[in-house]
Amino acid sequence: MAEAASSTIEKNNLTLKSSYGDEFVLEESIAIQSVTIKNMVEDGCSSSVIPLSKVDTGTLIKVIEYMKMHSSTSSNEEEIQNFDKEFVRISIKTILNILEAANFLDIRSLLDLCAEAVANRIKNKTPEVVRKIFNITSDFTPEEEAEIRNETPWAFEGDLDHSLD
Amino acid sequence: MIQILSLLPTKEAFRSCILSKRWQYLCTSVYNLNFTDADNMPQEAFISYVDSALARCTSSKIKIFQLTFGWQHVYWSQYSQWLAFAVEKETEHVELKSFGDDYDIFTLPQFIYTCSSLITLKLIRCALDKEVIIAWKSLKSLVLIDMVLDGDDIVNLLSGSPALETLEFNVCMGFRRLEISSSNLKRLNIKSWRLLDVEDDHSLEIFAPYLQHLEISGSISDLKCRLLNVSSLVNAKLTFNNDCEKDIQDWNGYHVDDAVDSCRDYHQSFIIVVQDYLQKLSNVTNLTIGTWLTEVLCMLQLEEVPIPELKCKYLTLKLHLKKLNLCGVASLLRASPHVETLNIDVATMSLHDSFCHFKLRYLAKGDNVDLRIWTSSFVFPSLKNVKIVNSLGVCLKDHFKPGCDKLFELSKILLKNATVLEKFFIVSKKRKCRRCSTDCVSQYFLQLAEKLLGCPRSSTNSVILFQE
Repeated sequence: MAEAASSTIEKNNLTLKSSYGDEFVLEESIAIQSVTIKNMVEDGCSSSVIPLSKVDTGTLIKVIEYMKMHSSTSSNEEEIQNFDKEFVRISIKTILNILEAANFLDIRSLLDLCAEAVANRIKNKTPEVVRKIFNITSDFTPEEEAEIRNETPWAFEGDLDHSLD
Repeated sequence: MIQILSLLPTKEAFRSCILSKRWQYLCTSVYNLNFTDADNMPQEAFISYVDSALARCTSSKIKIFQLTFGWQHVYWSQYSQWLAFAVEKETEHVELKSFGDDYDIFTLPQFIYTCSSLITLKLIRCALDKEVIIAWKSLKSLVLIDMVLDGDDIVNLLSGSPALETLEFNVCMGFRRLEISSSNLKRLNIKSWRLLDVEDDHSLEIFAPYLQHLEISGSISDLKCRLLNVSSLVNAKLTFNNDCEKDIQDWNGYHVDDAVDSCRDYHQSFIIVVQDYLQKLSNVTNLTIGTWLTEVLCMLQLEEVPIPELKCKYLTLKLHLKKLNLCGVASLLRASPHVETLNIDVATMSLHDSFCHFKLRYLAKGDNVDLRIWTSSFVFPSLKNVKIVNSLGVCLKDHFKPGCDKLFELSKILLKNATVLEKFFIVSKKRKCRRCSTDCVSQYFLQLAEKLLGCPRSSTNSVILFQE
């Protein structure tokens, strides 16, 4: 009982460790936007450093920046919207990294934001460009590919964008 | 990945099957489907496209389903089948748009009226089947655009959607009474109104004792909208525009009586309607008033019809610069002694010339009222913040001089009569005007701010701020 009471009164800090070994100290109230971290805290395994072996330093900095903004009580809806808009104005590679981290850390709103940003980036792109973006090598033979195009011809109509960004 | 694909237009999501073998069937799990680009495709190709996409779709539940129907009857059974698919997959958000004229319109098939998974529904130019009883038990938001609905349809819709929170009518017509007895329904939005026959009685009665937000905007022709009971309203926006009966007769090709006074009764009846609005809205905290209402307020003032006291704290005026009516605005401000924040939103769209000289004569009389003498008899005792903003698309380059002068006049009165004023903002939203590509608005607003600095103020703590 006494323990539980002290943990609610104190402003607890958590330490998050990136895959490169860099450590970041963050208020617990901000960090628990991540359901994964929240569960760890509730299970009592957050006393020491929380290792995030799947998140590199650059990505973690962005994720923390996002969580700080979204837990701030001083910013209004419009400011948050503008922040989000600016936040995803980065390379698609970085967005995909953040998306993966958001998925692992279970931060719903960040996942949604990144998913929408990725969708906007691949809209109207040729399959070749989308392959490059996602780093996919086609394992279809030309015959197989032609067959698929034949099955759903409507999906390949219209002018598509060949540029990478 | 499926989340990302679901955010793409369906056609594009299905294009991802070509990427690699791992991706080949991923797209069949998308949970948002939109088939809305009917006009880019021949109807036949569109039908086979939707058919084949739906046949491939393996997702057990659909979140968003958007569909645009073509106008050919031959495909109506096909559309029904697609809707059956959406109902079967427990779709939450449905948007249906159809083409066709009023006498030949796609009627929604039976099974959709009992679809219990629906949370939001948007219908554009569809018809409802009068024989079927609606049961949308989860529906929270309903938007109806360009629909003809009669009183029975409305009763059916409202009694069948007990969870409904937001209701919007956009360019609808037909019904005369809107009786909302559900305490869940808090928000009603009426945007424009369609009127077909000049001979009909054009009235709408709103009975909604639990409603908290009401917005009536756009052009509502000669609709006489009465608020019977809106006793819970917190937020009211009345920015709609009524037309004179003479103009409506003219548009419909009827003979227009030239006598200036021939529309006197028509305008008199609206004076009574507006007086009633003010009575019904006297407890609203957040009030937004448009140009047309300020004009009628001017008529009320000249007729010496008493205006009830309004308790609103936030008042927004959406004013057309060409029709800026100082007499109406001043009488509204005088009736609202509790206003703390006043926003003035200036617009300048082009207007058609009206046939009605009766109203013009009134308004001219209103312009001749000596405001300086009249307004020296009262103050704005609670007003702390004033903000003048241009709405998007405002161009002040040509022929708005009289309007600009009036805006200056109004600002002077506010400074002089607001005894506890703290901040007077003048905000120009965009530097460059898109229409004349000079910075006409910000230039004028800056001048306005500079001129006001030298004007007398009754509050010593007030500051005038210019923002760009």
